[in-house]
Amino acid sequence: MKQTISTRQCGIIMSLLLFANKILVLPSLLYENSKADGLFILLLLLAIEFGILMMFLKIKKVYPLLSFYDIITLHFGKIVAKIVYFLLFLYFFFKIMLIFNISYMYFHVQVYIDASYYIFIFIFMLAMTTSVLRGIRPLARGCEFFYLFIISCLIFSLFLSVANYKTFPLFIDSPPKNFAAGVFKYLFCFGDMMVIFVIMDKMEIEKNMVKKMIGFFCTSAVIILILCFMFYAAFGRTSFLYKNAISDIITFSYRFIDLGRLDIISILTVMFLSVLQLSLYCYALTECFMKVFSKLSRVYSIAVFDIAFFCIVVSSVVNYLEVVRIGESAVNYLAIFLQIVVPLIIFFISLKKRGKEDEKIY
Amino acid sequence: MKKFINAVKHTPMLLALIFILLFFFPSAITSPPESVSNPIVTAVGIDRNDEKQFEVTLLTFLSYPNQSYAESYEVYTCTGENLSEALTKAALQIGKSVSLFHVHTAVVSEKLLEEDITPALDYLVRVESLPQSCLLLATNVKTKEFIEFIKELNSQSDINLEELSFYNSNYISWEDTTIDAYLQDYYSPCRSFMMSYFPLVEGDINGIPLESSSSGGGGGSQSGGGASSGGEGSEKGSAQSGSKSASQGGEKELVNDGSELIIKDGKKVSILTRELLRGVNWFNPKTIGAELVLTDFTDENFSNAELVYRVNRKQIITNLEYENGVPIYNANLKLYVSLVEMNSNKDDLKKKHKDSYVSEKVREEIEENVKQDIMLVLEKLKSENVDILQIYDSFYRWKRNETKKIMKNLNDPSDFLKEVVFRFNVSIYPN
Repeated sequence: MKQTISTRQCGIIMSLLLFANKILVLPSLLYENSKADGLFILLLLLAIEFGILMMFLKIKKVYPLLSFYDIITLHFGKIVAKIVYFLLFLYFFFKIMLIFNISYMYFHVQVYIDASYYIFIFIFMLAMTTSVLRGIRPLARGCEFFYLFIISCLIFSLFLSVANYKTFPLFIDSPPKNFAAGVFKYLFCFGDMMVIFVIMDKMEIEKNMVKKMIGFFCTSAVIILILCFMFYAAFGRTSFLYKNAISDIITFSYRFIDLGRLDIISILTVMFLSVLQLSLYCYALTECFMKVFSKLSRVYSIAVFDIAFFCIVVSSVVNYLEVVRIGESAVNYLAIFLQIVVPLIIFFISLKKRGKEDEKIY
Repeated sequence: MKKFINAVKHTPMLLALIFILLFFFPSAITSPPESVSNPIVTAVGIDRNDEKQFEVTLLTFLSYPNQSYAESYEVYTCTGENLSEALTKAALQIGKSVSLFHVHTAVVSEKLLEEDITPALDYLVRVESLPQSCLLLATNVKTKEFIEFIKELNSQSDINLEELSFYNSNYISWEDTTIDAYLQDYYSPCRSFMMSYFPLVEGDINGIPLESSSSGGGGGSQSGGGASSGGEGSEKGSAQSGSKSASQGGEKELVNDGSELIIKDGKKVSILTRELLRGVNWFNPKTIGAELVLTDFTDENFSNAELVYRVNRKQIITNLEYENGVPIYNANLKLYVSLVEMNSNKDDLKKKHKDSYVSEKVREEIEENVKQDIMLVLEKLKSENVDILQIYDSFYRWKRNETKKIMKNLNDPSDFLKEVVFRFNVSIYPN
């Protein structure tokens, strides 16, 4: 039986994925690129993400039962669909590497500096593999179960950060070319909507689908924007020195020293978020793999992923800085194609051919 | 057994749990606590020795079981061509890998401040995990001597460095005197910062002395370290450094008179005395409780009296504008004062004036005093070319285009301060 998830679960998945790579390193990287104007880059990239969500909702309305793969096949044939899905496979693999390395850096600094890389590899791989093998439904339920906790912790962290507020960030202080370059450079931290494109056939259409999805999107987007604002307000010119935004905005003040480890709140949040995000990306990756190599089952696809992931991570070819460097250069071209061009083409074609294709499908 | 195998088959997470327990539980149980493998460094001193080598001093809490409640602190000093070498040597000396996560206070010497200290701080923050929120202060002696003095002082009197610098940072300084605040100012256009200054001075100067009884040695244990304040006094000596520091610091006293060092480009420019700092702090909303002394005061109720007023509340409204291309800094300062002390003759005292006594003459004199304070410090800052009040930043933030125009004719944002005309309006109200 095909596993399905509700609109609410899909919204929660999207909402949690939206936090990926944005609440730890991104505010610092954006500041390095274009000072406090990085907030506008974030705003624009979130707006692009919102546009992709709106396209997704439209496509879903037009093709309520088809998968993204089926839609591409319908219009461009199987080979194009396989190429797109293979690129998505590579893209998701990169995203997993990015989330893993950023999370590792975070836990390494905040929790346990002596912990070896292997412990993290083992724990995350175990969680990813198990979640993928259990299927999307338990994973979606897991996300649903932790969602309120995660959101509450994030809001509480923002509340605590008010104590560290120093000065209103100085906006419009970097050259416009930095802004344009920043939008391109940090596109790789976005594109989380592609996961819901890949699992779109598993999503049940319910009443108020659009409202619900927009609601979940806005919740995450507002939290991310406030976090970035508070980060710049707390650290100002030294924002580029801090790499763990969600923890730093709480623990920074020496006035909190005697209160103990307040960052336990953000540590727990990042812990749950990392595991869920990695599992979701891993699930989407195996979906792509199964579509490209249609004769292989999910067990094979996750086995291939585990081996590839383990070899790359252990060989130390890729570390946090290297992943970010790759993301800032090569991956962005892939991101533009997959995050923007492909959804845009499908969106326009689906609108144009709606009448004819509807007859075919049903 | 069959049931168990079936259960495991249907719930692979159970298998994973068993796997985790087998691999990680024994090592987690048997691994020693981090405090055994890492010393807890609560204060760090950075200095240069006579051979121009880096000298790092660590005030370190070493945890080991004992039968008293006293915490054992030690001072370790190591030198090296660079900070990495010095810290590596410190680890060899202590026998534990040094981590600076728990440092609350970083001390630099005036000698080190002859060069830009930012590379050293940057290294400690980026590589050695020195918290940027830790307090940063300067002293006139070698940091080794200073930290040993502080260790002794703490064991004798519960006065600790963190509380002293915390108090200054909260009530005396223009801004938080943390490493982050330093770096914020270092990366600002004017690159100027004010750092807390705690000199050790010889002689009886009404500073904070060490008790002479301790000079015989035995001050190795202390109750608070850099972190806490309660507890026992010196009970026993791991006298390695205790007697040494007492002999070194016995003749000296710690002076905390609220003076600060002006730092520009990471180097010391000059000392801002407490009197001059008063002028700065009239702009500073967080400093309250300043005293205003009117000497030889005479009006209809007093004759040749000395009146002390305390500022209980103040309100500062600033307005920045340009007049014919000249930057004008308008500040409206409202002070809510109360009369707290009267040194006057018997007749004056008999009148039992209320603490809200503010006559027209009082107003005039206080206004004059405040303006005098401000003009003195502004003259000093202009002559030193240091914009610690971030005046340029304020103009750039609120009047960007006009400020950019002026900057075309100036070499450095620090020069902007000289162009600014200050206008003050001081109003005095009884609290």
